[in-house]
Amino acid sequence: MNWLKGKEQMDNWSLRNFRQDLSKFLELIRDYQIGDFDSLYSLQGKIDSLDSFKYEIKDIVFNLNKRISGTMPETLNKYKISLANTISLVNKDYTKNDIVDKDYLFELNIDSFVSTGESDSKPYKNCWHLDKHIDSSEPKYTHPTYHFHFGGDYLEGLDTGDISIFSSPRLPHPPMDFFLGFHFIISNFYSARDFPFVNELKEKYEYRQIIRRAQERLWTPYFKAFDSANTHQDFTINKIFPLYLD
Amino acid sequence: MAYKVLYIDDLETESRLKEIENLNFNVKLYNPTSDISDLYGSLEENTKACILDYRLTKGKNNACFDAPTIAQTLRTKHKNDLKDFPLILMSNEKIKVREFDKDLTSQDLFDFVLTKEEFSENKENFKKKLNSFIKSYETIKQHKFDLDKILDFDGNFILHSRVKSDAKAIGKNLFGLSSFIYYDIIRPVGIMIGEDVLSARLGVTKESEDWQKLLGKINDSLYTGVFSDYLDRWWMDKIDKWWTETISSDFSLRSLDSEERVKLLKAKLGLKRLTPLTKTKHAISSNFWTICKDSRRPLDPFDGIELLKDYLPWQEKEYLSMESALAGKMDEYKNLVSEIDKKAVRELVKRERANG
Repeated sequence: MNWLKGKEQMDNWSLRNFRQDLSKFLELIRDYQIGDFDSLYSLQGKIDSLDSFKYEIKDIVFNLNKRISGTMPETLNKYKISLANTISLVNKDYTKNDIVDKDYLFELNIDSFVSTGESDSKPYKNCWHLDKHIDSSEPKYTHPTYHFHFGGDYLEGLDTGDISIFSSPRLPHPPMDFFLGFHFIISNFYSARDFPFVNELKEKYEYRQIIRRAQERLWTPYFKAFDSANTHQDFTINKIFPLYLD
Repeated sequence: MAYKVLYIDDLETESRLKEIENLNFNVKLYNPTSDISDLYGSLEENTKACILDYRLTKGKNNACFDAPTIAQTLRTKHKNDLKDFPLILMSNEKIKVREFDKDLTSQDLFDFVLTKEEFSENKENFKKKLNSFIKSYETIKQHKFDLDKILDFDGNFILHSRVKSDAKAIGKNLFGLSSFIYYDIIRPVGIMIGEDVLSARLGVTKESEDWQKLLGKINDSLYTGVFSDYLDRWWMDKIDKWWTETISSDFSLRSLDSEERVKLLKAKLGLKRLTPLTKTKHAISSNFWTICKDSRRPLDPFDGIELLKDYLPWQEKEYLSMESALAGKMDEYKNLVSEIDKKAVRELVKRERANG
């Protein structure tokens, strides 16, 4: 069943496989009214002209009109989640190096509203970044190679009321592309009870294969850091999880 | 009872007329004149179909128009009056026939087209097809355009909402609805599948000794609506349900490779002589789900070369196998293939050459 296993991992980075996966992905989600995926359709139209794996996508928009439990203020009941994602590759040995270039970007900008059906309140803003730490000088705070942190430019200059905003902690998390980002969003913000499509999609063989291939690209080398036989130079325990003491 | 058919040809020798008559149609020949309204005089009550030659201007009656003009006139006249009947283009000119082929163009005149050569090669097929189109018009009228009834749809299942709304948008147009059902619902892979795709999805070769027995087990999934007298189709939703209820509730068909599917089928149905399908050259997966558009061999879409064209929301994409592409079929499909796939094919060709 797991025919991927024996295949060269690098094949997953081929533009051809990426094109196939994007095409199938768009076919899978077109039946559900999840949001606005125009930017992915436009990427689909451009892949053909690329000569290496590279994309920059803004505004993959998810429109949610059921309350996400645990969000505050408690009256929030409508959300617009925008995903932006940039990935390009550097020409290095993927068995030893992280081949995702330093322009990596993964950003969730969230507008939340109190909607009465007729009108919406002002947007309450929220923002998460999955950053790639670039080795320059010694960081003042712990910076795992890839980390999630709350906040970003999106929040700057806003009246924050009584809330203080920290850019710590930086939570280690493996890198994601938009396939994994989609998976992340429907798993974290969509209640499976309110949105039956979440489980329906996750059970589909082709969806699983697309996500598996994305994991193979981005997560397998990352998680190998915990393997004692690891020879990767970028993904080591110390870099991806610096809290850990040898 | 033999259906009454009008055959329009300017140079008809009695032979073709006889040939159609021999297929048990009641044929009347009309040799067009320069006045198109003469046509109505020849059009007897109860005419059920009309077969047209493409060129109509060389005959002794000096008609100055070809088949599309007549077809257009008939279509306009019967647009909404329920007296419309199938129009078939049959010509010696391959190019003209292709120009009006619904598979290749968006033409909206003829129910189907064929060359005279194709007619001569398989007359029985023509007979079956024409009868099926005539019956389709009759059935649509009889059921007053009720799609569920026309398709003999099982109300325990759900029909794709876009199929319903698109059918509704066509309105009370016999030609429109009949063509929609044939070309957009029944023939494409999607809601229904044909025998080759069925074989791919079950993972079993059609040559298996017990293939017919296996088909017998899924007889309830067989499509029985209009055109089922011409094409064999199965409802995919029903096959899925049958698989879950009868074969395996733990594993979906899609998640298994052909050998795993066959193993389960054998165990659950007690059929011994089922042979699993094998991969085409250069394919990685045997989790077959579709077929190569050209060779009709089984394929996991991931291994295929996607054919880029407009698909309706309930239709699945079509693919070409690498095997067919390398066997010289790329040229035929080159306008439907992405640059990335073309490059992949070129590289494979190069590699194969290098390896001798």
